[in-house]
Amino acid sequence: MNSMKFKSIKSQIIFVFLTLIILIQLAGLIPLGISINKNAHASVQRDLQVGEKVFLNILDNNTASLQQGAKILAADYGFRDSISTNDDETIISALNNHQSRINADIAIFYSTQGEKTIISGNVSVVDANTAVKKIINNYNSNNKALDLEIFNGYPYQVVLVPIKAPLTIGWVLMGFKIDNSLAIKLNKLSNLDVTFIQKNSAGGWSAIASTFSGSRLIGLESSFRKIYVPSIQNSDMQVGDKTYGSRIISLSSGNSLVVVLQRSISEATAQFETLRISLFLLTIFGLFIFTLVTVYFSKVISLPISKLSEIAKEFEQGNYELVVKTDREDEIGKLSNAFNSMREAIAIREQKVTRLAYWDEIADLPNRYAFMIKLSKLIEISEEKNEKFTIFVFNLDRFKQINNIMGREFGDALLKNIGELINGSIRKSSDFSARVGADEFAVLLKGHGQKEGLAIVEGILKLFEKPILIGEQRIDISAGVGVASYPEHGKTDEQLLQNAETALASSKKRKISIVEYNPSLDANQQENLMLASELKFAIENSQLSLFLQPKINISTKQAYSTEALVRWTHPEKGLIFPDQFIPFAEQSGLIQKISLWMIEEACKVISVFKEQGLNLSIAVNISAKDLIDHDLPKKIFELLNEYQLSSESISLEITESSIMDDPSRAEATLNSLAEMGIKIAIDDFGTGYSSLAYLKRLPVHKLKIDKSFVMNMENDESDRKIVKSTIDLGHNLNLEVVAEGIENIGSWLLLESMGCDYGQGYFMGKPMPVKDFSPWLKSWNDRVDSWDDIAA
Amino acid sequence: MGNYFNLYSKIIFVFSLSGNVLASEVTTIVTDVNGKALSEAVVYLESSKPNIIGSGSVKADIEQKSKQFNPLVTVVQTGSSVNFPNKDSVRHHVYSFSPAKKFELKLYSGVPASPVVFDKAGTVVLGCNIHDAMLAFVYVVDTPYFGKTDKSGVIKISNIPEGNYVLKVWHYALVKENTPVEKSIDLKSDQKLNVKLEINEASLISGR
Repeated sequence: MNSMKFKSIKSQIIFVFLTLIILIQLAGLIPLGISINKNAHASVQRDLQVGEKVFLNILDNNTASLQQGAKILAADYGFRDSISTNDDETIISALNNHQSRINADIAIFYSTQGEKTIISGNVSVVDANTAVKKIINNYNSNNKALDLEIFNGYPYQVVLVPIKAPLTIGWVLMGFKIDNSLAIKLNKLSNLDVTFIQKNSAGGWSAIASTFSGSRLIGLESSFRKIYVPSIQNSDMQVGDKTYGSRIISLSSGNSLVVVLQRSISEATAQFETLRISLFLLTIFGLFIFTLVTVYFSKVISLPISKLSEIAKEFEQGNYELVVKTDREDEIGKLSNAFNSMREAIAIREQKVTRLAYWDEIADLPNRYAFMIKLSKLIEISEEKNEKFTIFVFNLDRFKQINNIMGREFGDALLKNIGELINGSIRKSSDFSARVGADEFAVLLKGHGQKEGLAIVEGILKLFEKPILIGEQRIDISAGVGVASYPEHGKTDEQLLQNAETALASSKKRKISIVEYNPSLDANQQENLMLASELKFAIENSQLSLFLQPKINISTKQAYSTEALVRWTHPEKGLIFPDQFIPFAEQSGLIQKISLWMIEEACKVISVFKEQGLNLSIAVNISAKDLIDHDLPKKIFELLNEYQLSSESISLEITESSIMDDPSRAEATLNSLAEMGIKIAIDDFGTGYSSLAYLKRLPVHKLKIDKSFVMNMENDESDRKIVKSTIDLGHNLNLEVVAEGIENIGSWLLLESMGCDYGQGYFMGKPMPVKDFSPWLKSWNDRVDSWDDIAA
Repeated sequence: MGNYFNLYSKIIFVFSLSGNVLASEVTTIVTDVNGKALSEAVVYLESSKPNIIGSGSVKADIEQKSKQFNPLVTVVQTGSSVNFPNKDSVRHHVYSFSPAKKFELKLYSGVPASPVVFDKAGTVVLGCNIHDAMLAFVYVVDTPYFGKTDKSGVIKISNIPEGNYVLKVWHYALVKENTPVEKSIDLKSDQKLNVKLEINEASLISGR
């Protein structure tokens, strides 16, 4: 039973019980069948025994009848008289007469005087004489046993009676032919099939009379030949398609003639067949009733279980509204109740999980996933209704730094605040806002085209102009915004959001607060991506080259150092400036390779300069990624050793923001470098948001004032003031100050007057290939010689 | 069978002579081959000379009593007549199909009006048409010298003139039916003979 798998309890129950009842019925029917068979055989045997008695009785009667007929004839005076007078004609008529009286088939007179034979019937004289003489020899008047004689190939049952006058003067033989009529007579009396089978002269057996005919008779003969041995009495024989119980009786002492009495066993079982059929029908009826009852009960058990499994499937689909109704108190009732409580528990838990999946707990807004779903739904609706909508994403400036400096808790509070601000300025009924990244929010404005959308975005940005109060801390925030509209800027959720983010990236890069998406942004971005992928190849295949821009000591007008700048000579696109690939190098991590390459190139250049008698140091820009690399100092140390240079040969320039990515690690790296004696300058000073207190802690030697202040300082007073105060600040902190972006003598003179230590810019020299440096230096020295002319 | 008989005849025939010369008597003891005495055996002597004695006119009776013929065997000389008195209350139908004398006395009671004359030598078997068991023999001989054995199988035939005779012995149960055993004798004095017959036991009628 274990090997069988049932698809339902119902069928299992039905199977088990029906099997049981069928087995029980078989246990009854099989013995019944056996006993019916036994009974049928016994009944056939009884019939055959009775039949044998009837048959022998018939033969006895025949004998008696023959004897009587023959005796009457033998005793007839007239007959004897005609014998004594040799009146043959009378003799034969008397024979005929008595023969027909008893329906005998033959009557023979045999005279002992003169051996005369007179025959009535189809027998030859020779046969008759032979038979009569044989019988006379064995004659015993008291013996009434069956006497069989063969005449013309047919057996006859005969009797022989002496004719006495009063001594024996002759014999009368009378006989019945053993033929079909005898068989039929016996069949009528006993209801058995009767066949006489005789051994023919060739020794084979053939039937001479039978109630069978045709193929059945042939079948019987062949069956008989197979089974017959003289000792056999009872046997089953196959005749045609039926089995017959058979009794074989030998009729002659030489076993040359037998009679086979037969009764069909199947006919004998036929009477029991009705009983069997009614029992079988009863069984079928019982099975039917039993099946109905079993089906009913199994339904009572299995139906609720099926119901429960259907409900469980509904649970699987997320439908928790179905309640299992039951008033049962049995195990199924308990199971149903357990289902109900399970349903409730799962529903509650799923609500929680769903909320977490779609909700940003920090900003208390829907998350990016929820936004995408909303977006795709809105696209579907808008497509149908031919409506427009706009999404924008905005990214807080400096959030990472805020988080780092003010702490995560503060950052989270800020995000929550921003979330409230955004959510408060949209239409709650139709619009949708979400936090889609660490410091990135998205807003979906339903039914608004680009223009209306922009108006709303601008409104939100206005809110940011006021400082935000968190705890007791006020903070100024600003943000970049990317805008994309449906359907112009994308027809799928992914595309729309991606395009909005592309626009956002462009806004950040270009430092423009709101940028609307347009396909050219994509092109830029894609080109950048392509360059990024080619950059790695470029580093390995010397497509990069080092350019040098001189740094001049303003007071002595001597070139004392150069800044190393990288240029990429692209085989197809020509010269590519660092602005175009350094950001991607930073994102992809290639920047570290580039930095190290530059340091090594710088070392090579210094070595060459040294041989030429030039004693210049080279400043190399390094990135935030380099700063968090603890091995950087070691690598630089190894390079300096390799080229046998002092630590003063190389200086490093870092931006404020690169420090702020991970201030503690940056600080550790910078300390190690400073300990090695390497000078460090803060690049682009004034554009970032560095805390002076923090800067003060760092081992920095120089400040580089950003060129944006220097370039306009001649015309812009505030720039001038910034430059002046920055120079003063640097000096107060014991730092040397470098000004970038000196493009004319005016700026030079102003810086000189402000006490700026060093200068750098097109006025003195553009970034140039290394080979051009010596000629430039020569020409610069010439210019310094005639400086007074210039200054004038 | 002839040889068989000759063999025996030498042993069996014992002659005994007595004093009378003119007429002798012959005593014959008839037994079966086992020596058992046979009654109702007919013994007669036929002379080789022509019968000068003439036909007999002896009258004999064969009565029917208790549905039996009595006597069983009757010996008569040719020309004798026999009466068949019926002593039973039932009627009888006496017949003979024997060639020596065919006759029938249809159902009758008492004594038939005329006796039956047996004028031909031979065996006449008598039966009763309505009582199959009734059987009698009339043995008709052509000689005056005859007799039948008594219960001890002995017959003495007297007053036989000297001469050559053939002694014949017949019995109804002879194996060789109707073939008497013969013996030539030269009769000069009384003789005593033992004759053994081959008898069909089954044909013997018991108690007779």
